[in-house]
Amino acid sequence: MKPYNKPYTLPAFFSLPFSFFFFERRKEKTLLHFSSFKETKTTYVCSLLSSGSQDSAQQLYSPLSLSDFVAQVEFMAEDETVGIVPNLHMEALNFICGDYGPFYPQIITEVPLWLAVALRKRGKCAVRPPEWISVDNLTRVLEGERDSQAFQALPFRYVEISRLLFDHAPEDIPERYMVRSLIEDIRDVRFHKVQTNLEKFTASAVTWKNMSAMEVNIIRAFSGRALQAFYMHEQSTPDSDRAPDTQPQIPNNRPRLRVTIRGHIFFHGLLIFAIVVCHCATTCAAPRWQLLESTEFEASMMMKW
Amino acid sequence: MSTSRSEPELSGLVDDYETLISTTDVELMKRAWRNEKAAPEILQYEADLVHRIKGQIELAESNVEVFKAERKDALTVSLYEMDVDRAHFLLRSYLRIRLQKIGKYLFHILKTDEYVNRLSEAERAFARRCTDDLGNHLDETVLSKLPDNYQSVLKQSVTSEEDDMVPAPRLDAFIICKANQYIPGSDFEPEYSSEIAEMERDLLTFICYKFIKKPLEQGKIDLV
Repeated sequence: MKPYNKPYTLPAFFSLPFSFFFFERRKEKTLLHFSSFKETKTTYVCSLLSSGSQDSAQQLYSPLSLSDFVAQVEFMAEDETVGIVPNLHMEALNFICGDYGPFYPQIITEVPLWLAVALRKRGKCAVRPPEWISVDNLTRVLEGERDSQAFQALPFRYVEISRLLFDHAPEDIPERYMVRSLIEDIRDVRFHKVQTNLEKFTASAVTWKNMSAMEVNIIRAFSGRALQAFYMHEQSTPDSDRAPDTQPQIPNNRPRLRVTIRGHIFFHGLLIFAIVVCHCATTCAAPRWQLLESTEFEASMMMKW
Repeated sequence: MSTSRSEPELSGLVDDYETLISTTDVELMKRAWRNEKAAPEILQYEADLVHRIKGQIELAESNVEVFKAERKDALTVSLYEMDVDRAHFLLRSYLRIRLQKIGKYLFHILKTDEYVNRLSEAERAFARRCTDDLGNHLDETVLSKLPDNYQSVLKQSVTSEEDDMVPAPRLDAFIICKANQYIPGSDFEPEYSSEIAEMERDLLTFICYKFIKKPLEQGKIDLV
C-alpha cells in the first residue's frame, strides 16, 4: 500500500467556500456563522456550539478544524445516490464502494453523488435531480412545515444534497431559482422549528421524526449537554441544596450542578439550563461561559426568571 | 408453536442475508466510523473489516497502476483514484479517532481488561508506549518533586481509595442514534427498563449512551 501522509484533500472543485446554510451568502466567513438569524436565542445557541465542548462525546466533533468538519459532512453526503444520464459510453466501474455502470449514452444510471459530480464537472453526463427536488413537492413540504409542528419527510441529508447539486449541476435542475428559494425557505422554517423544539426537552430520551443531518449537527453539542445536565438533576437527590461545584476541570462523575426541582421533570429546558449557565458564568468564570455574559439573551432570561 | 416461531426467524435470516450481500465493506466501515465518532467510549476494533478494506485498497491501487501502464483513458483512471482516496480517508479517519480516544483515556483503558481487549495489537502497543512515556514524563517533571504521598500518576494522594485521577469516558453522555430495526424492551439492559421501553426503527433519538450500549454492540443501533 502506498504511504499516504498527506490528509484527504478534496478535489479542487470541491474547495468552494462551504456554507450549507446560506446559498446566497457564500462569502460569509465561516460555517457556523449565523449572523443572519435575527433571534438572539440562536446566537446564544450557536455561540455555545462554536465555542466547543468539554464533553467526551462531542469532543470528537468540536475540536475538528473547520476544513475537517467540512470534509466529513461532504464525505457522508457524497455517498447518497442520484440518477445521471451519461453522454458517453463507459465500461462498468468496479469500485471498492460498489459496482456502477456500464454507462450508455441517454440511459439513466444510479451512481453516488461524488461520481455524478465528477462526471458532471467533466461534462460527461447530466444529473437527474431526485424526485423530491420539484417545485410541486417542495411547495407541499413547505406548506406542511408551516402548518404543523412535525417535520415533513425529506431525505436525511437534504441540505447537503441540494447544496452539492446547486453547486455543481445547477443547469440540470428544472425551475432552479424557484426550487432554490423553496429549499431555503424550508430550511429556515425547519431550523426555526428546531430552536423552538429545544424548549420541549424532557430528561431521558428525546425523539424526532424526520429530522435531517444538518439540523442534528446544529443542536448536537448544545442539546447533548443540556440533556446530560437534566439527567444528572434527575439522578441527584432533590433535597440537596449544595452550592455548585466551582471546579469543572476535574474529571469526576458526580453531578456538579444541582438545582432543587419540585414536581415532575418537565423542564422548560432552555430556560432552566440557561439559568444554570448564567449562574455558572458568574461563579466559575471559565472563559467559555464568559462568552454568554454579554448576550441580551441572558438579560432577558433573568428578567423572566 | 415451533413453526410459528421459526417463520419470522427464517425471514429475519433471509433479510440478514440479503443485507449482508448487498452491503459493501465500505458501507460497514462507514458505519463503524460513525459509531466510533459518536460513542463516548472506545468500541470493539473491527479487525476483520479493517483487514478486508486494506486488502481492497491495495488491490484497487495496483489496478490503478495497471490502468496507467495500459494508458487507459484518463477519466476512468481518475475516477478509480477518487474511489481509492475515499476508502483511504475512511480508514484513516477511523483509526485516527480510535487513537485520539486511546490517548485521552489511556490509563482507564489499560486498567480495564474489557477495554484492552477491544484494541488491536498495534493499538495496544501504542497505548503501552504512550503510558510509559507519559508516566516517565510526569514523573521527571513534576511528580518526583512532590511529597511522597502525592507521587502517584493515578491517585490524588495515597489516601485515595481508588484511582481518582484517571479520566474515564462518560457513559451517561447523550448521543444521537437511530435503530436499524425495531428493538423490543427486552433487548435493553434490565436496569434501564424504566427509562426506555422500546425503540422504533429509523426514529432519530437523543438518548443516554449507557441505555443503548447493549443493542449497539449487537449492531441493532447506528449512531448518527
